[in-house]
Amino acid sequence: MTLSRIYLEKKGKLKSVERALESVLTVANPLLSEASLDLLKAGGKRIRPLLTLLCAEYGDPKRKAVTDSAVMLELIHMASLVHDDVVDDSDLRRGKPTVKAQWNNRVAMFTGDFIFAKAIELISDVDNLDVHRSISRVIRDLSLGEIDQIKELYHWDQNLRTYLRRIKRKTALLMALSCQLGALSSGCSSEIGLKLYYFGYYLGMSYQITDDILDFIGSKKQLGKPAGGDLRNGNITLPTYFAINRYGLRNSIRKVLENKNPSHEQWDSVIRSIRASGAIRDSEQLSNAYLQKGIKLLEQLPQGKVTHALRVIADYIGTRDY
Amino acid sequence: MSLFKELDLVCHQLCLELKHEYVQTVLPKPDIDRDKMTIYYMLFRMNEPQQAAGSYTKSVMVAEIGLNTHETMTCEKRTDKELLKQRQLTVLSGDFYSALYYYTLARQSNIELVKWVAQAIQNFNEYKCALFFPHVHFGWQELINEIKKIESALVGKIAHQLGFTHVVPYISDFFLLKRLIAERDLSNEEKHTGYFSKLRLDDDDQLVEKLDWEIKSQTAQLSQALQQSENQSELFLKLRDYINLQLPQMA
Repeated sequence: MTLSRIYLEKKGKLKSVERALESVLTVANPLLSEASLDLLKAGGKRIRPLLTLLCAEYGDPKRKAVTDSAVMLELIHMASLVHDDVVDDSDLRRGKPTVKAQWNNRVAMFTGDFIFAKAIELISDVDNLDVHRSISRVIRDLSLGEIDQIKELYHWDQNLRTYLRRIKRKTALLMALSCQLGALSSGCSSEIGLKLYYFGYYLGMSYQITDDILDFIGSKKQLGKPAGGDLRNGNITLPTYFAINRYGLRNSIRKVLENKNPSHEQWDSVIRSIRASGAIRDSEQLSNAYLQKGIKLLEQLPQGKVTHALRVIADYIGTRDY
Repeated sequence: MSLFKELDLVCHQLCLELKHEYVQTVLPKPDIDRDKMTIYYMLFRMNEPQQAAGSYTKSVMVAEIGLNTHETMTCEKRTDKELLKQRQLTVLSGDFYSALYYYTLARQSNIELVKWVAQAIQNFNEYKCALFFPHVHFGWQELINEIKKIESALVGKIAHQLGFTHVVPYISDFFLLKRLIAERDLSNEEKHTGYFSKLRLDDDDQLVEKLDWEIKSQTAQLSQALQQSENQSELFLKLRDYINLQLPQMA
C-alpha cells in the first residue's frame, strides 16, 4: 500500500469532508465566504482529516461524529493558518495570496475568528465531556505554543526542551487529537483512543522536525521562499539548535541574530554552514526516533489494513521532501 | 454579599484568568468592560447560584476580550521589531483568549453555552465584515443599526438563549450608546477606529457634532423606553436600575 493508494481509498470520505467544509464556510456575507472558501480551495495535504478518518476505521466510521470531527480539525487548522499569515507577515500561501494580502490584517482577524467559531459550534453537538475537555486543552495549548514561539524568537541560547515543548504545542498535539478523535468519535474504547493519541503525537513531533529541516534544505521553488526562512525570522529550530550546541557555530549564528541589519550574504553564509554541519543529520535522527516510537505503538493496535495504512503514513512522514 | 462585591470577585478572577506572564510584558492589560460584566452576571444570576454565574460570566467575558483584542489590529506595514512583536502578540493573545472560553466552559461542563458563544462570534464577525466592507453605501441610520448589532452580538445572544429576549432591546441600546460615546471621545482626539470611516463627511468636527446629536437622542430614547415599559420582571427592574444609574455618568 502506498500513500496515494490510501488517499485514493479515502477519496470519497475526504470529498465528504471537503463538501462539509465548503458548506459550513458558505455564509451570507460575501467577503467572509470568499476569504474562507479561497483558503479552502488553495488545498493542502488534509493530513489531519485523513488521520481522523483512518483512525475511525477501528470503530464505526459511518457515524456522523467522525466527519464532524474531521471537519472541525481542518477548520481549526485553517483558522490558525489565516492568523499565522498575519503573524509571519506572509503574502503567499501555497502560491496564492493570503487573506491578509488580498484584503488586510483586520479581515484576516475576522475570517480566522469566524472559522474558529464555526469549528467550535460544529463540535459542540458532540455529547461527550471528555472529548470537549481534550479538544479545548489542545486548542488552548496550540495558542500558547504560538505565543512561546514569539517569546523565544532570537533566543539563540534556548535549550532542547524549550524547542520540543514548542513544537509539541504547535503541531504534535493537533495531530494527536486528530487520531484520538477518529477513535473516540467512532465509538472505540478510550484505551485505543489513547494509543492513537500518542501515535499522532509522535507523528506530529517528527512531522514538525522534518518541516524545520526542509526549511533549511528545501529549494526556493519547493519552499516558495528562500531557504532558512525560520532562522531569518529569528526562529531557532532544531537544526540551528544542534549547529549551535554540537557543531561550533554558536558565534557565527549569534552574530547574525544579534546584528540589527544582517546582509543577505551573512544570512546565506550562516545557513550554508548549518547545512554543511552535521546538524541536519542529527535532526533527522531525532525525527526518526519519534517516528519509531509511533511505529512501535502501532504494534499494540489490532493488526490489519488500518494499522498498515497508519504505518505507510508514518513512513511517508519520515521520507517526505516537501 | 452585595451585587457589587460579587462582581468585584468575578473581576478579580477574570484578571487572573487573563494573565499571561509574557504577553503582559509587551501588550497593555486587556480592558474589562465592567458594564458588560455586570449585565452578563445579572443574566446568569437569574437561574444560577453565585459561583456558577460568576464562572460563566468570566468565560463569556474572556470571549468578548478575545474579540476586542483583535479589534485593535492595525493594517499598515511594520518593520520595527518591537512594533511587529506587538502586532504578533495581538493576534496570538486574542486567539489564546478565544481558546480559553471553550477551555473553561468545557471544564464547567457547559457545552450549551460554548455553542451560543460560538454562534454569536460568527454573527459578530459577519456584522464586522458587513460594516467595514459594505456592498452598498451606508447612510447614518443604517450605520448606527449595524454598530448596534455588533456591540451586543454576544450579550444579546446570551440573553436571548437564556430566555430573556424581552431585555435585549435595552441592552442593545445601552451598548450602542457606550460605543457612540467612545467614538465621539476618540474623534475629539482625532483618533479613529474605522467605524465611521465609510461615511462621506467633510471633517472630524462634523462627525463629532453628529455623534453628539445621536448620543443625546439615543440617551433620551433609552431613558423613556425604560420608564414607560410595563415590564415588571425581576431582571428588567434590576437592569433598569443599573442602566438608570449609569446613564447620567456616561454622556
